[in-house]
Amino acid sequence: MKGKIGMILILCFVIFALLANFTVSREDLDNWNNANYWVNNPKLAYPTWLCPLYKKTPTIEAEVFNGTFVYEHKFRDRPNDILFYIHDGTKIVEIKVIRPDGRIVIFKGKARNNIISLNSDMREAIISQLHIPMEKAMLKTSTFLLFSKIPDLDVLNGRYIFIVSGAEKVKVLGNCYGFLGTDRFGRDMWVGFILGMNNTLILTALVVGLTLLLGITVGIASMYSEIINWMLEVLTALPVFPFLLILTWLIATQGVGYNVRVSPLEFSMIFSLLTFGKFAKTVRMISLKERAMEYVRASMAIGGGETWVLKKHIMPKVLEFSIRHVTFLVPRTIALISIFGFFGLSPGINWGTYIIEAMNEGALYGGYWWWIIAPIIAMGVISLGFAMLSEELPKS
Amino acid sequence: MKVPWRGLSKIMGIYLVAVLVTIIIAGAAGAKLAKNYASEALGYIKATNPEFYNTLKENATKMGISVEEYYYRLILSRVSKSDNVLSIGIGMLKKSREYLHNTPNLNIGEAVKVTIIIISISLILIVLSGVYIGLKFRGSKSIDIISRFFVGIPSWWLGTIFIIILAVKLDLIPLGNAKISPSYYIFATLVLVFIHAWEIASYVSHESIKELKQPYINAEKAKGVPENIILWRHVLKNISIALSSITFQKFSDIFIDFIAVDVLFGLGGLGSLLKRSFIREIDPPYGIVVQFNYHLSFVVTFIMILLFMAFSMGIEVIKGILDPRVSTNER
Repeated sequence: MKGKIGMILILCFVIFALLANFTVSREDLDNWNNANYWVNNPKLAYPTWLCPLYKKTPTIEAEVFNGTFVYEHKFRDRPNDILFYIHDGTKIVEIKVIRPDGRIVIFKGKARNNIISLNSDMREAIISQLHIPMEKAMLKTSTFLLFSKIPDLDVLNGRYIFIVSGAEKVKVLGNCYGFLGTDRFGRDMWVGFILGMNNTLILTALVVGLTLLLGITVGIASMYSEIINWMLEVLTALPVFPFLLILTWLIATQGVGYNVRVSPLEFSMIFSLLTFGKFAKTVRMISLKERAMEYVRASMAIGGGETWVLKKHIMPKVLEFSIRHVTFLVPRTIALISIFGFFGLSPGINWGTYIIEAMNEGALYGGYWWWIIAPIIAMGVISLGFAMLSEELPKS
Repeated sequence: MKVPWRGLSKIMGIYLVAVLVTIIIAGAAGAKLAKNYASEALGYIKATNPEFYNTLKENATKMGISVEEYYYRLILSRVSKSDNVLSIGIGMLKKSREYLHNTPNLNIGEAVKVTIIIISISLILIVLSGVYIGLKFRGSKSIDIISRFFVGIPSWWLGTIFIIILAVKLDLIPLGNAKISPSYYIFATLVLVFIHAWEIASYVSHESIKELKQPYINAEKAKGVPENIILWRHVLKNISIALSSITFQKFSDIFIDFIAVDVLFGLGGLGSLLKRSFIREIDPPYGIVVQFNYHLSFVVTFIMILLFMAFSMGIEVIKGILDPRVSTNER
């Protein structure tokens, strides 16, 4: 029963991992580290599913009909920004805003990159036409000021009418965005989580594959050679962590500018080389034990060679152990890769890098706990799944 | 009790080779660092001091090599007479020692102290709680599953949950203080104990069942010896030899998890120093930028090797005390 639950958990995770990739675009994934790409997103936004609870302004996109856009504001906070998408950037655009209190703000100007932003382009018009004292306006964004009562700057709820010439689309950047919100660069954290998941799973598959290959080969070889056995002893004595960091830095190449790139295959090879020692030593022990069995010695006595013993007696036992060991190796490798990600020097981002980046931006102490909840749940599910599945497998 | 000299000398040999590997890696890293520096510095010299650049170029032409190669060799000559990695490694590590002496705010002694104290206390608590749980729930399958579950759980995972619940939601840990709160050390230790105690518990839980089926235990039971005394005096004593080997294997896992917990709670141990040696930032025009502090990184690596060696030797001595066969074999 426990094994079945484990299998269901792992299957659910695999299906989730496949489906989740359809929710993000390739472009978003490729630009995760390009802070300029996310500049139009709201900064430090809450996840959309948390918005009703905290009464935060959601992000909405709408078409502009007959040059008019009506926006009903009924939240505790103000929008992050409002963007007007203009179809002809060469022409002068006029935007007239009628606030719920009847005050009017009129802006005339040219769009930059076919976008007019309330924060970047309309600041002067808003401050001067709403007669807001400079000392009050100084540290506030123009969107904040437009959605505030005058003069106490409390939030002003009600109907806002935007009369815009030449705009086809408008985007109200709220304080809610996507499934996991955004960070201070405006990056969609859901994209980071998916990217981290993909990289973590790819690296884990490579590391587990290489560890099994190295562990079985070297483990059996060490049965015949004391030098190989000695090398295994040295390998298990090395502190994995700093060596992994330094060796990864050694294979890292500098891309455009100072951008650091690490090859996933080379990284996985180093990772496996430094961590396969314990597994290889266990394989050696199993092989030695099997070789000392009476039936194996009897088979050798009647002419069975080393290859025969290896093929017919040792390998089945080693493979049986290896299959069971995979249920240990997969979650352990994910955990180790994520810890290594804490130090940043790994190919792309993984769940560790994602977590440390989120923490550097105050995910924990700033109260943005939803950034980190997704990898926590995912790792918990994977680990529990494999733990329960291992119960079903035959004990070696 | 006899000192297990053979075992100790084997460990010394293993760690000597580990040190040699470290020196070779230090040499390779030093050579890469010098190459990077030479290529960056030459661009700067060419722009700001063309006269000096021309002198370098003339000397390089005389030797029949490129100016980059000449400048690279010039830089390396300050640390090593030859250009093989072993010699460069020794030269660079000597420089790291100077760095250690000349950097005032490094406080490496404090970092080592914090690391040793937290890992030692965690290790003692892991063994004690693991043995207690294992003996209490003998043969329990649930302990196995919990143990396997925590194999795939990194320390930051549990540490993060601790912080979210205890600091953010319940306000039990002070946040944002410049000085580390003593409660951080306690929580870091608890995280390590909570993750690693289960594996010991699982081992004790199974081995105690096997041991309890031995004929001598039945004899003790027949004599009327209470179960607790049988468990602690006989069962535990017999499984303690293998337990010491498992504890040694766990040491490297605990050390890795300590590094992450140290960074998470900002304890100022060797993990924090290692983190300081690799600074990773997002620089919008470039992407990911990593700054590598060579000297700090290798200083931390060497200290870790020494700690690993000291711990291995300690375990070997403990094995000698627990297992009379070790002492017998030494004769």
